[in-house]
Amino acid sequence: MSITTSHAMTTSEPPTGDGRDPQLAIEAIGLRKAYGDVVAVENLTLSVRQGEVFGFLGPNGAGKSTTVKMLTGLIRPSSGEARLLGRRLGDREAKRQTGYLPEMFRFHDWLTANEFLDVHGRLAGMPAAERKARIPEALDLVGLSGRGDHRLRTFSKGMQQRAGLAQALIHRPRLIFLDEPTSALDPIGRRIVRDVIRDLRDQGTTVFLNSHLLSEVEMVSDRVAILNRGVVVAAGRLDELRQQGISVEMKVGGWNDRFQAIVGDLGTVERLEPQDSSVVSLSVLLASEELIARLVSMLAEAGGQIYEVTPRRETLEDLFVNLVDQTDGMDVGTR
Amino acid sequence: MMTLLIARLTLQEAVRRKLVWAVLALSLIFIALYVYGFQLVVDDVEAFNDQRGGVPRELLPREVQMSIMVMLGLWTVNFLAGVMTIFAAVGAISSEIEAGTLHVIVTKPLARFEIIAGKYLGFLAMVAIYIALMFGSVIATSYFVGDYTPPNMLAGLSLMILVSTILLSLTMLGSTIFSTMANGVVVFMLYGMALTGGLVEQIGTSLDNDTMVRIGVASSVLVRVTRCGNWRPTRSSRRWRSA
Repeated sequence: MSITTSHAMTTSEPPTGDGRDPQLAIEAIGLRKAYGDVVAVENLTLSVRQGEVFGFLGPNGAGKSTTVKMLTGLIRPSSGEARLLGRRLGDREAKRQTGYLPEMFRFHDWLTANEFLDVHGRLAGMPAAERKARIPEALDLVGLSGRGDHRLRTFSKGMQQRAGLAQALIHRPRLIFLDEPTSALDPIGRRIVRDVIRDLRDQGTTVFLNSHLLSEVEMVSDRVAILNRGVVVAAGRLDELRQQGISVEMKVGGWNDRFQAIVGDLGTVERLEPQDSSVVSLSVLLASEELIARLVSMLAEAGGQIYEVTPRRETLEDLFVNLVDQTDGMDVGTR
Repeated sequence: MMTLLIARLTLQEAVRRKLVWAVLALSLIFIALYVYGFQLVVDDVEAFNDQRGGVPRELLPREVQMSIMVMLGLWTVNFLAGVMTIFAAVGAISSEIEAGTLHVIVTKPLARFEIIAGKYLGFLAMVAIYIALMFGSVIATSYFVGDYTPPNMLAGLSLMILVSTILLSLTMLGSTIFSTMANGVVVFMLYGMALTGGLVEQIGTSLDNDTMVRIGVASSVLVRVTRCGNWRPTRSSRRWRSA
């Protein structure tokens, strides 16, 4: 594979100077993981600032989970380096301040929820008194209060996933990795997780959210990165990543060549097709919302009959599909 | 500290998943049968001596008869402990990876060797306690039913625990390399070969057959389980062989 990644990082990245920004919760430079000839992650460079919710998106098999596994220390990168909370991968202190809910969440289900959280609190180095106070709090946070004495085995999948979430945040980590945290959840469970993520952000916790549920990511993320075929194909704030400007669908009657000039002055015509003798349906890309009103009034002054005006903002899904299509095309082209 | 926590978790799992209770129940059955069998042998020996009308001429010295019974009992305990060790630890690492339960533990602030060491310690404690209990039951049976106290008990107990330690090391090593099922098959086959090898060697020794001894040694060198695990011939049994 040989995708060039010159456009991978957008201009919104902060200057990193010597590559060690104390404000960064995650900093990965050229991470690569190959299993024999199969490259799971090609050349991953990304920065996540402290205190933000970072959405990590990509189609199935893009290398999302491999990336999370490298960052959490489950597997070692073939090459490249990364820092968590300013410390090298595998550092004990960094691990102590990191929480993780794996995609394939399976726990020692012969433990009760209380015991489970106690064990993981201990593993994270929490003192006994702190654990005792924190466990009911964490259970309550994920909507499992009163279930502490039940064995995990008796829990539904969704409840187990929420118990796993409680495990990830029991020790009040500064950085938390959530790998598909809503995969087993019903809409109510999803809302709980969303609220938990927002709570975490309010407390200044950095959340690395790995998901293919775009709407979920869109609702909570400050910034996103889109991964395809092992490389970051776009990263930045959602509103920056979305297509600049607004696409407007219009239907205009009494069309003549002057109209074409007016539209061309204000924006870019993306599509134009005559419906019948004088009615034209077109799509225009405008730089800002104010231009919609101006375009409409100018067309009306010039004698046009406006039948329809529909502004359409690019959704994360549009962006995602476009980027993935583009990069897939590039890949095929270079082969 | 973390190692002890993992060890405790390992023991807790064995109890919660009823491994401990199943093993204890079956072991109780074995002990009951053993006591019963021992009593029958003792009765037979005494009946035989009575028939001789008190003439002090025995089929075998009483001490040897009792020692054979103790060896049989300990051989069984040794075998059971070996099986238990293998099956308890066969998936120590692999099954946790397969299930995914290890993911949230490896990412915690502890080194990987602490996880391995903790599990090793947990299994070893469980097996050592089991062997000590079973060893004690066999010796107690011999003492109370057969009125016989075997020699070198501490050495014997230590060797039996050593056998399980070797098996545990081998099983844990395999568990980091193979899948649970492959590991079970490999370790159990090795164990079977070593057990048979040990028997062949001992029979060879008593028959003075060098080829048998060599085959036995060769196979148990592969897994040094029975060579140190078997109850070494006691003074009295050696006397019996040379007689």
